[in-house]
Amino acid sequence: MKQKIRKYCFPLGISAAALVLLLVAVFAVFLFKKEQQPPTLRVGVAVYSQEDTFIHSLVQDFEQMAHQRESEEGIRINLNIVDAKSSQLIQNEQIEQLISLDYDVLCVNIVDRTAAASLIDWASEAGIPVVFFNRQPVREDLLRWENAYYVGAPAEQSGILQGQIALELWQNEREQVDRNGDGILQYVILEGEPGHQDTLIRTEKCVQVLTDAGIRAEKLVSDSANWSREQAAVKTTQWWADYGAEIEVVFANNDDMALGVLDALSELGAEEPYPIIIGVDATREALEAVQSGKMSGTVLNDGTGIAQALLELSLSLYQGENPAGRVDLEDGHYIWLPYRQVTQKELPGDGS
Amino acid sequence: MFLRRMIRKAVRSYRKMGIQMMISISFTTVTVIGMMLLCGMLVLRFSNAASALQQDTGQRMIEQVNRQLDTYLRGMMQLSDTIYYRVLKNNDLAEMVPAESLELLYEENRSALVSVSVFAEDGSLVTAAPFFQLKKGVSPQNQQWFLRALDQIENQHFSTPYVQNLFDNGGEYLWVISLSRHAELTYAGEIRRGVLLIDLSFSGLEQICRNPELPGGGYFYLTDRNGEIIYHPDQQLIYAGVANGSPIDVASLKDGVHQLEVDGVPHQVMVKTVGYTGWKLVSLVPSKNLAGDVDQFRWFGVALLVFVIFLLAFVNMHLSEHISGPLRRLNQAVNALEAGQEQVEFRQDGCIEVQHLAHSIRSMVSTMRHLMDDIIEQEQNKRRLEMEVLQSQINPHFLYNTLDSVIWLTENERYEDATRMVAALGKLFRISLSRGKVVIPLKDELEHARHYCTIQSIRYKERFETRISAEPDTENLYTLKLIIQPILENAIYHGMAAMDEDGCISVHAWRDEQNLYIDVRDNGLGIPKETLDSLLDDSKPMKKSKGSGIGVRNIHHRIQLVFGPAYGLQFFSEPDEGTLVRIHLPVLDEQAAERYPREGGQR
Amino acid sequence: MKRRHKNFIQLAILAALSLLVILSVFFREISWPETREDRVEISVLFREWESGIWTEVRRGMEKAAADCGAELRFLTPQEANSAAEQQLLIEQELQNGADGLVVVPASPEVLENTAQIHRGVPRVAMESAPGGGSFPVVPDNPGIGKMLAEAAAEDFPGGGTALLVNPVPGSGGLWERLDAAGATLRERGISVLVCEGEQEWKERIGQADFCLLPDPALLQPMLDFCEEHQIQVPLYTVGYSKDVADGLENGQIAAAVVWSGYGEGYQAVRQAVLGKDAGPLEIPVILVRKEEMYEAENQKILFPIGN
Repeated sequence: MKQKIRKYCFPLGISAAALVLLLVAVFAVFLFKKEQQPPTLRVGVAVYSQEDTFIHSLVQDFEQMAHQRESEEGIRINLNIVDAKSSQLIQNEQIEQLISLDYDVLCVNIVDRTAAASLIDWASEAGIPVVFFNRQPVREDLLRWENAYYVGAPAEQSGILQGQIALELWQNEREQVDRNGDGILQYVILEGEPGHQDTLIRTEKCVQVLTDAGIRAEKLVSDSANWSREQAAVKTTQWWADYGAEIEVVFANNDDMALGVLDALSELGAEEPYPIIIGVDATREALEAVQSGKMSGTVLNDGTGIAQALLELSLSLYQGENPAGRVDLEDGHYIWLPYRQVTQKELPGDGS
Repeated sequence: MFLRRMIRKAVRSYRKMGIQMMISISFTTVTVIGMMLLCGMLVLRFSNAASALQQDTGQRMIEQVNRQLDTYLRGMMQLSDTIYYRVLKNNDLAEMVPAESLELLYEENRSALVSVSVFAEDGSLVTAAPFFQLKKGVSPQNQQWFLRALDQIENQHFSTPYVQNLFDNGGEYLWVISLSRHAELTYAGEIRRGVLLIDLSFSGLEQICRNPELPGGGYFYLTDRNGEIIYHPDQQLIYAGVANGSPIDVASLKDGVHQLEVDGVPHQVMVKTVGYTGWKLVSLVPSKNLAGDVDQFRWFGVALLVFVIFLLAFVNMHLSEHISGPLRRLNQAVNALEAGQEQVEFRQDGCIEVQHLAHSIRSMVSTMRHLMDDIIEQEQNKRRLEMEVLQSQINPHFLYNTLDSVIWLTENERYEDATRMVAALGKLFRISLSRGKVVIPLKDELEHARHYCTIQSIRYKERFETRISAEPDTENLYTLKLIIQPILENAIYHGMAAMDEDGCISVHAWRDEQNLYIDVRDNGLGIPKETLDSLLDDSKPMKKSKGSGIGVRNIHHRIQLVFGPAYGLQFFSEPDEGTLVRIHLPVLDEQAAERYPREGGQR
Repeated sequence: MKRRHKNFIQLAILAALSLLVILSVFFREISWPETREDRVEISVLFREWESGIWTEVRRGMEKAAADCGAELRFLTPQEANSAAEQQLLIEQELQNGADGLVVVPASPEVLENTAQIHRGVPRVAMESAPGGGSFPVVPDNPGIGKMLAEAAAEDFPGGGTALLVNPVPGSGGLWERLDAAGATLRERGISVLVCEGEQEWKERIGQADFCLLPDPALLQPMLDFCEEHQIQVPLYTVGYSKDVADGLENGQIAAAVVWSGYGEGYQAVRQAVLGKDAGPLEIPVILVRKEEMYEAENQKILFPIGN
């Protein structure tokens, strides 16, 4: 009888012991894995398009800063950058993917600013803070959740600064600017992508500054060149044929189009001084053009500042601090990094 | 042969099995087989249903994508029609190039389009939206789409993806799909041949095809009728030459579901031809993934099965233990009883039937014991009575003979002898009564022997002499009464009767540790060998002899009855030399003697 | 006592099995390879980042990471082509528990030195194969050099002088390309000038009839320099980037040997995730001239497409 019991007990005991061991091993693996590495902040960065040079350099700055901060803060910062290629559908998929991978913070450069509501809802459901940057969602959407933020410049400011550059030149160098001497400022506008927030705001604001200052301004023509240098050049060639020297000021919604104007003018062999040409973005080439006087000014969007703010915000959110301690938080949701105007006098002498 | 042996073996061991084993094994076997069948059937049904469902889902998805593609392509063809019939045909290009309307239509569809352009037969650009300069050194008239449009003028032609090489658009290399058609261009009333080209952006197509993820980790791709890839989720890897894009010969496959080996793995392949273009939408799903969730279900089934088997085994074992345990214990008790164990316990537990059975057996056993005790007691009583009868037999004979001798002595006026004889007789009887005790002091027994010898020697005219002695250490010992006298009687009748004068009988008591020996020795004729052997043998008839009639065999039995089989008589005899009868008894002191009952008393 | 012990074990097993049944019901929910701790972290380190020649490689890497469930850490070196900084970064990454490394070494020592420290972590070397236990995902460098040189020799049947510029003197892979090219050119009777530093090529570019670059990073500066100084030198280059395509398109590059950076990046990360040597990189390498760049097979490799 005893023998029999032992015979039963043996395999039973072994399997019970094996089960317990297995469980212990699984737990041990989990604990061990968790302890082994320094804490990791994982940031999902969704951009509307990597082709956009401004966004591209912003992201590059972000990466570089994050890497430098790693050793200072004693944590690892992993950035996963996804490119929506200008499709909100793709971006939605990417955000869902990032949320399912349990990222700590999402930084979203949204494609379609009207689509922010659903993104915020997903993020709040998963409890992942979401920081929009550069492309500003509607205020009502952002207020849906306390952990939704916006980092960037107030869009209307870029237009206002463009207007101010023109205003300043008009007031200080009237003779040069008012080519036909009629006291009216004749201008053309090269617009970006139709329906784009920046296009709408910049186009409206740059002129509004002038009219608010009591200057008579006359729009000769305006058209969309889709942010494209080449299309801008084509448009300029047409307009030059139509209006020629009547054009006193060219407002371009971005620098690429402003450079397209320059391309067209030099192609056409127009005489210098060119009309006042003002862009936005302060790209490298535009700065060179400003330096050489071919362009009158541009507006700097502080990409590095945005990247810095994104990093600080992500870190404080990850560490569970109140973000207001690290960054200037307005309304609890906004971090403003104002545009700055760039004309020849703002640039250092050596031209880079 | 082997099987039969196995079966026979199994049957044999089955027959030999206990109730518990039998119950638990057969119950478990039956339920396990039942469970396995049930689980197997469930899993089979479920997996079939699941894979059918997945196939259905896959089919519906491919239908849906096909419809979307169809809508998209038809939309583009409609756009082409609109441009051609509304914009180009209505205008005389010599008067005005309808750039505005073209621009408008382009803007309307700009998310799907890269450009809309019209070329003359010589490849020169008539107009385009958005307007770009034609690249230097480009000859559209040699490009595929142009040639095909002019080759088949009644059709609209979709190309495979390629990089647009027409416009000076700032170093952007855009992947497009061309929709080209022959167009009649009117120049001042003169009809010229031309080509209308609508370049669809690749990303528009990509967005239609990329969304759906097939159940079971499958994917879609799109090829033209020759199997040239138009869209593939890993398109760039395929273009890079890293991945194998189209591992199956799509061109040869008809629409429908196929089972094919792809890279050595069986896949379910669905093919659907997109209308008008002849493009083929292909979905690939590894067959083993088709049953996707069934894996989980299978795991569940196996886990449940193992669990239920263990549960059943557990319950069955306990159940059968509950049923068979009392029976087994009963069996053990009965076995113990058979082996002669005295104290056997019968527990009354388990089922009511078993309880009843145990109860019955117990009462039966106790009845049996009582009966057996009764029988033993009766037997003992019978034996004792018999003994007593035998004992009492000495008295009349002996008394008769002695009294005869006394009469004879008196008649011969030997008064002295007569007095001695009568005195000895009196003492003899006193001792033999001994107040009814069975065990008497040794010295009394020896005294009894002496008196007996005195009487006998007077009767036999002093023909023999008697010596009675005892070792000092035997003084206070006890013995069974009346055991020496019958032996003396024997010795006198068989040994001394034939002797003259020099007969000698000695009685000697001695002790060897816990044994008391009483030797009765005579120098008579001795006993013949065969008689000697049969003396103590119950199976031989007792020789009837003269004398008191109490055979030595009776003494032997009495001793053994009282003290056990280790004790009794021993005979040593040499013919003409004499005989030694040794009585072997345990050493009994006064205390020990007390324990032996009186004659006729209860045990 | 014994009996009770046995019952206890049986009950324990029953409990464990019922747990198993319950677990199997939630099988899907507890399959955990998707949780964050289990994702493989691959650190990627290029020689330099500024020139933008790695954009396509990076896209390929990202695709591979998405396919393999890995997470990439792109490290951005401050200084271009600095072996010392690379080594520091690699050591730092290994210490912080990277699961794999993909490195474009600025010098072969970078990976050889770290091989001693961390044997377990798979290290993939791109562009040059420095050994030291790392897995090379490297195109056929000598073959590329030879191809380029033959294309150049075709254009200069009468001989001439070739300038071979290596912008990264530490890189073994680039030297392999240039050495093979140099040997081929000499065979064809073309004299070869080899130079390394920026100063050197600027001085000597005037003496050359054409110039061979093993890597497109130098393309833009060289084109700018030539434009500035009115020097007409046909360029022959290797590699994948928009600059190469632009150069071909504009006629600034006579011919280029091209393969897909996307595919190369994809393979590199996949190697790092798999963690075993899959042999040399098998990737189609083509020679492209301006006239051929829009041919169906060439454009597939030259121009990146969607996804």
